[in-house]
Order: sequence, then C-alpha cells, then structure tokens
Amino acid sequence: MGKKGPRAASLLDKLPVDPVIIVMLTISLLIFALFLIAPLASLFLSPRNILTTDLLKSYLDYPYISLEPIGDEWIITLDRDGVTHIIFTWRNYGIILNTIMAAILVTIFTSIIGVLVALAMARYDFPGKNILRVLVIVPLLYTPFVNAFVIYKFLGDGGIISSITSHLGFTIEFQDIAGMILAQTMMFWPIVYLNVYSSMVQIDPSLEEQAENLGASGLKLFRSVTLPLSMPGLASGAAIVFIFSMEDLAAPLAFKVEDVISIRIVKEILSSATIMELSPDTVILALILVVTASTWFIAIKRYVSLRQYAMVVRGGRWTPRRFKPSLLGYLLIYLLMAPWTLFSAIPQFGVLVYAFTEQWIGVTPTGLTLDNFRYIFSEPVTLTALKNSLVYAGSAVLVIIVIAVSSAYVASRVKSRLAWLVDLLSTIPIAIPGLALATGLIILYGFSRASEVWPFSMLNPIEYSPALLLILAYAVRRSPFTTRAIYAGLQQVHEALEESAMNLGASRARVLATIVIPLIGINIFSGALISFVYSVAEVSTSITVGRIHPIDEGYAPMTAVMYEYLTGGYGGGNYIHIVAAMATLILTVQLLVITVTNILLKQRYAFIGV
Amino acid sequence: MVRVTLSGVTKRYSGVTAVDNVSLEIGDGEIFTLLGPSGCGKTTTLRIIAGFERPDSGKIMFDDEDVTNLKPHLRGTAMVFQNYALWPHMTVFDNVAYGLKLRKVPKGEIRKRVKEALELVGLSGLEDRYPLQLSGGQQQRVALARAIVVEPRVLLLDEPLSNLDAKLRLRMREEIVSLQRRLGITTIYVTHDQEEAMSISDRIAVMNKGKVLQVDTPQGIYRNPRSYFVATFIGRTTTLRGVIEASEDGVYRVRAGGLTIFGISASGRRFRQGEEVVAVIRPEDFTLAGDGGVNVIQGKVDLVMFLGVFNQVKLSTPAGPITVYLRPKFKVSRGDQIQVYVNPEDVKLYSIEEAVED
Ligand SMILES: Nc1ncnc2c1ncn2[C@@H]1O[C@H](COP(=O)(O)OP(=O)(O)OP(=O)(O)O)[C@@H](O)[C@H]1O
Ligand SMILES: [Mg+2]
Repeated sequence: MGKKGPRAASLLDKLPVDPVIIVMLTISLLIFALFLIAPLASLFLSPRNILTTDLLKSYLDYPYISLEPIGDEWIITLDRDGVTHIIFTWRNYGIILNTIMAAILVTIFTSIIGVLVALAMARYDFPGKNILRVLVIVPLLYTPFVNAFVIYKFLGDGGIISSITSHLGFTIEFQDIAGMILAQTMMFWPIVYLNVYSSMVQIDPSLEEQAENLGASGLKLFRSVTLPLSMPGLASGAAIVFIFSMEDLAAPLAFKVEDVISIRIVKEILSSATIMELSPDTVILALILVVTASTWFIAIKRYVSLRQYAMVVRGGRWTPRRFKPSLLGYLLIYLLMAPWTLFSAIPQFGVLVYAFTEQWIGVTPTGLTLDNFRYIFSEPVTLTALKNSLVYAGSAVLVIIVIAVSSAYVASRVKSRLAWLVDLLSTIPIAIPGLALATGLIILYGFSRASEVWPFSMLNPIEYSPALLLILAYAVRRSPFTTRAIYAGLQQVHEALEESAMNLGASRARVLATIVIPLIGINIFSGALISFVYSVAEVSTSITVGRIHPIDEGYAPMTAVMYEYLTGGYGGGNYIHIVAAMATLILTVQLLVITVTNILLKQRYAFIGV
Repeated sequence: MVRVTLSGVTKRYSGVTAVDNVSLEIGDGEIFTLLGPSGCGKTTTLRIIAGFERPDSGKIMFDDEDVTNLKPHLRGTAMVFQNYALWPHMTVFDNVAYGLKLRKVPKGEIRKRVKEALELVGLSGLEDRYPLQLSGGQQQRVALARAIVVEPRVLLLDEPLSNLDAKLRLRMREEIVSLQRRLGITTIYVTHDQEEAMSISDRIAVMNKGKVLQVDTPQGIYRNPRSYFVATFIGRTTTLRGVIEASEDGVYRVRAGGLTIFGISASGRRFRQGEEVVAVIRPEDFTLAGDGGVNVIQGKVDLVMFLGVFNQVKLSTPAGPITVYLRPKFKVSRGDQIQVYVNPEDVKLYSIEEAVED
C-alpha cells in the first residue's frame, strides 16, 4: 500500500517488458538489420576498394554524365505525302543525369496534374465525378511491365494514335526517355493525387472561408491557403513519385531506353553473376539510387512532420466546401481532366486486350482467345513461376505478420526512442529503391565473406535456391502495408481495454492473444492480403535475385519470367500477350484484395504515401 | 460603415429550417447581438451575412446595396470564426497582414497598421510567432486584430469568447466593446451566453428554432420579454401555472394552485376568462412584505444560498416552489415562514400553448 506502488507499476506498464513482445520485436529488428540495413551498408563497404579517385573521375564522363549531350528534344518533319511527323525524344546527358532529370520532370508533371485533379475532386461537384474517382485509381493497379508496353503501343513508334491522326495530317511519337517520362507520368500521377486529396479534405473549411472573407478568391486563395496547407500531401506524393521513377523498369523497357540507372543495374547484375563478382559500376549506380532516394525521403519526412498542422485548428461546424464549377471550370474538367484521366487508364485496359487476343498489330487487335491463359497453366516455365510466386509471397506474408504485429504494437503503445526507430523502419522500405536493395543482397549473401559463414551461407542465391532470400526481401519490402493497417487498427483499440485486463491480472501476452489480436484481426488479415498482392507483383529483387539462375531451373517467380519473356525471346511471336495474361492474373487478385479490404476496413484505396 | 438589412431571409437544409423568415435592421455603428440556444440558427444567419451561404429566399442589403448574391470576398465584411481559423502556416504578422496585402496596401503602411492592430489587442511583440505557439486567448486576439485591421464595413463575431476561461472572457468582452466604440464598425455578435449579450449589446435579437422572437435593447429584452421563450431564456425566473379568473384595466386575476395573483399580459394579447396561462416572475422582483394585501405570497423557506449581492431563497407555496432574491440584510433561515410581495406589473402572463411548445 506504499505511496510509490501505483506510480512504479504504471511506468513498468509503459515498457514492452513482456517476453512475447520482446521476442517478436527482436525478430523484426533482426530481419530489418540483416535484410535491409546490412545489404545497404555493404554497398558502401563493398569489398573491392572501388572508390578510388581515378574511378570516381571516370563517372564524371560519358556514359555516366555527359555535359555535351547528343540528340534533340523534339523533331518535326514533313514527309512526301504532306504528313507532319512530330517526334518527342531526348538529349542524352548520360546515365546518371538522364535518370535524375527524368525523375525530376516526372515529379513536376505528376505534381501539377495531381494537385489540379485533387483540387477539382476535393472542392467541386460535377456530374460524372464518381466515375472519375474510380478511374483515377486505375493507373495504380499493378500490371508489371505490360501497362508501359501498352503506352508504347499507343504513342511509340508507329503507335495507334499516330495511325489515327495521320489521316488528319500529322503523327505524334514519343521516343526513348521522352516516352519514358510520358509513361511514368501516366502511371504515377494518381500517387500525388491521392496524397494531396487526403490533405485537402482535411483542411478546416473555415481556414479558406476566412481568407475569402478577407477578400481572397480564385488563384490567390489557392496559392496562399489551400496549397500551403496541402503541402504535406504534395511532398509525400512527390517524394514517392521521384523514387518510383528512378527505380522503374517498365517504362524504360517499353521505350527501349538503355541509358538510365535502373536498366543498367539489372543488366550488370545479370552479367556479373556469371563471372562471380559485381562490377564497380553496378555498386556505384546502386549507391546513387539509395543516397538520392533516402536523402530525398528523409528531407521530405522531416518537412512533412513539421507541417502536420491540418489537424490542429478544429472546432466549429465541419461543412465541406463544395462548389459548382464556373463555365471555365466545366471546360477544364470535361475537356482536360476527364480525357486525361481516361487516357491514363488506357494502359490497364490495354493489358486486358493483349491478354485476351492473339494479335495486336496496327490499330485493332484480332483473334479473341483464352490461349494465353492456357499457355501459362500448361507451359512448365510459367506454371512453375506462378507456383513459386504464390509460395514466396505466401511465406513472406507469414514473416510480415510477425514484423507488422510487433512493430505496430510497439510503435503505438510504447513511447520511447525504440518506438521511433520501429516507426522509421516500418515506413522506410517504401523509399528504398528495390534495385539497390537487391544489389546489396547479392553482394552480401552472394559474394562477401559473410556468405561463407553458416547460417548465412544457406542464403547464397548463387550456390543454392534464391527462394529464402527472396522471401525475406519481399517481407522487408512489403511489410509497411501490413504494419500500417495494424497500426490504424490499434489506434482504434483503446488502451484502457488492455489496461483493465492487465489490472485484473492478465499478462501482456494474454492480453495480446485474447483482447488485442481478436480486435484487430480484420486489420491483420487485410494488411496481409495487401502485402501478399504486392509481393506477388514485386519486381526489383524478383528479376535480379530471382533470375540469377536461368529461369528454366525453376526458381524464378512470375515477374522474373515476365521480364525474361519481354526481353529474352521466350514465348515466340506473341510473348507480350502471354505476359499480359500473367499481368491479368495479378490484376485480378489485386481487384479481389482491394474489394475485400475496402469492405473490411471501410477505407479507400490509399496505401501509397510517406 | 454601413447599415445591414435582412428581409425575409430563409435557409433550409435537408429537413431543418436553420433560418426561418428572418428580418432584421442593424444600424450603422451598432453592436447587434444574435442570442439563442445551440442550433437556433445564429451561425447560419452570420454566414448568410458573410456570404458563405446563399439564402433560399429573402434579401440582404448593406446600406442600399443588395448583396444577396455577392461573393463573400467582395462583401467587405470581416468575420471572427468560432474556432478563430488562424492560418497555421503563417506567422501572427502574416495572418494579420493578409487582408491588407489583398487590398494592395503599400508595404510600409501594412507594417504600421499591423503593429497598431496588435497593440490594440495587446499582442505587441508576438509578430513572429506561429498560431500554434499562442494560448487560446492570444489566438482569439490575433483573430480579432486580423478582422479589424482591414477596417471592414461589417464586423462579424461568432461566439468569439466561447473558448476562453471565465476571467479572460470578461476582460476580452470589455476590450471588444471599447474597441468597437472607438472604431465605430457595425458589429454583429453571436453568442448563446445571455449575460455576455446583455453586457455588450446595443440591441439584441433573441432567436429560437430559426426564428427571431424579439429585437430590443438589453433592458427591453429583460424587462419586457414579449414571449414565454424570451422571458425564461433570459435570467432566472419562477413560473406558475394558473387560470384567468377576471380582468380589469389590463390586469388579470389568476388562480394558481392555492393562490390568487395579479399579473399583466406581456405579449399584448388578451386572455379570456377560464383560459390557462403561465405566470413568469423574476426573483429580484420580490420583496419582503407584511401581512395580507394583493400579490402577497406566503411560503416556507426551503433553502437559502448566498450569492453575494443577494440571498437566493427557495420558498414552497400553495402554488408551487418559487425563487426570490433577498438582500442579505434580511435574515431568513430554513423553516421560516415569510411573506413576499410582487408588483402585478412584474408578473408576466403567457398563454399555456406558448409554454408547452417549448
Ligand atoms: N450545412 C448544414 N447542413 C445541414 N444542417 C445544417 C447545416 N448547417 C446548419 N445546419 C442546421 O441548422 C441549424 C442551425 O445551425 P447553426 O449552426 O446556425 O446554429 P447555432 O445557433 O450557430 O448553434 P451553436 O450555438 O451550437 O453554434 C441546426 O439545426 C443545424 O444542425
Ligand atoms: Mg454557431
């Protein structure tokens, strides 16, 4: 009955003293340490002392950086039939500059489009808005590689759009990195949109009304109040787009781009595996990816956390601001925004067209068929890949649940430095370029001295199956989806529920098993589903680590086989149709998962954000 | 400054009539208060004047200018929101300077006027702080400074003191009044606090369920409430139910429980004999009385509470419990039998329907 009794007890309660949590947390931290931090660190500590000044200097020259770029931005020619050909192309500034410049441009374009569309959707009511709301999400559906090929089919060399417009006397073609930028803009703009939209709808309406009341309207109101208060969303979205653009492989592959970092790394890794070491180039390029991406990410995360004030000014009535657009507004919405949204959804529909047809040469596809799907389920290479993907992703999800439950629990219930670390670790995988991680994993577990020490030797993807390494890589990269879902669930579970159970004498493990987990079961399940889909669709480590062995040895997951089909001459003349069929399978599973999680979590599809 | 006229303004939301056929005339330079219980349509009326809501019918005029369809940013009003609505991404200085920048006031003058405005509200030296670094009272004063600095045609205040503690509320109340007197801006003030309304207003409109029930000076509202709702909403009251027995020269004799009391009709309507009414009496209108006579009520003291200026005494009488305020110099204690008198002029009668509706 001493005075210090209750105080000391409540202090102890705040710490994760329970053995179960400690074990789970240790496992999570160990997994992050071994499969995220260590591989990235090994990029810096690569065994060869590659960072000599001479070598570094050589990177300041072609093909890495070229200050006397060759080529044009666009070409306009008139042919003999009087048709004007407009070609957008790219001056080659070297691999490094190309990548960064393209990422910056894609970030700028997606930001402008994303902000404008978010403004229209958040502040205006117009007929057809609900259709657009759904269409906007379509580009985010994951159809590895193939959606970019559809964009090429429409706007690349001899594209469908040109075939149509040539009758009007002109053609439009996107080449090389110009095409890549276009494709990435089409694929990634909804990421900015979703983040900005969620910022905008959180702005207290009275903040804008007050500005109007003092005389602001239109652009002035937008610039001085709406935009600054949406900056957290814009910054998060832009950060992710920048990183996604740098590590994207689909668009450069479709537009036959050679001189960007992502493509280089993949090519180098696969040629190196045979000579048993990684070239310095690969490591340097991977390093550039990590350093640029994580600097950008951390800067933005700081910026965002400094500006999370949307929630602070509350009170009064909450009537969302919704207006009828002006005439100009209607014109912009129906002549620009709607067509653009429709246009950027085309690739996903194009994937379906490829998947269900025999041939798509020229404008119209021919030969409606299910053969492409039959092929997947009968051809040993694709069938094995399909099974591999399910097994790898399924196993990864088991690991993810351990990581996610323990880190979300610690992050939401423990107020300490440790919780901060766990929180960081559970968001940063989104910002780590997968190709850099893959490079690090191969160095660490394939070539380094650590790879000779048991038990790490078992992970060696060159000597043995890459399965284990892939599973752990998936787990690290895709855990944030589940961690977030669970974290959101834990926020809803009042701590008093747990405290009252502990007060009655239950141990924390018991409380966890009998109270917490049943209450957040739906969140765990939904999060796991999302992580599963994104593991199946994972590209970066799959096509590198997963392709160290030739694909007919039977270790490769689906995306690796898709990549091989698109680049390596498998599948005969209609390889795109087969790959599209595989993408369609992934798409189908995704739609199922989205439907299920939307019903279970009653939340919109907005998983992608800092 | 400007005269604000609302004529027949109605605003409906799905199901509720938030503002119901409201007509008001607010004089140039007046402090005019909208007073009423939560949900009675005060904020909606204010938002209609500011232009954030378009009325379903009716007209709003600023002097002779019809502003019913004018966009909010062109009305030249300045509103202080219930939640202050300070922009969190701007410093105090930028918040206050915002309206001046929009009016293209030269830089030097902006600095001068912002400084003056902040001095006026007692916040000099906090220019570079962000709103989140301020206390509730300071935030409220920034909001006020931001509104007055633009010298608006009409100043609109929506429960600006509701988030403050009692002491600060009293001080800010006085500051708002003295500020308004100095600047002479037509001011429309919203509150559900009757004491606040009484103390600051030139005139008050009492609202209930979207309707304006009475517009009058604070004294008028207090002394001559023309409806049961106004009578009981303002101040403390005792209510007694009774039946009209007779009338003479506008004074009615009412049988209430075991008592006979005399009172007058407050709404101006005439009562018939036998009609059921409610008598409303303010506790300070009672005085101690000797035996017998008209309107002398006898009762037993149930409870005595010391309120400072008065003792609040609860009596049980044949007509039911009544509350009276007595000077502390009259010593009464629990169990005493005492007699109190109330002037028939101060017994306000309302029809029973009015009271039941409430
Ligand atoms: N945008 C709206 N949509 C639907 N109903 C509304 C809306 N705005 C106000 N109302 C309704 O109109 C009525 C009046 O609301 P109003 O906010 O004007 O009341 P108030 O007098 O300011 O109340 P309070 O003292 O609580 O602030 C209420 O019943 C409210 O629910
Ligand atoms: Mg209100």
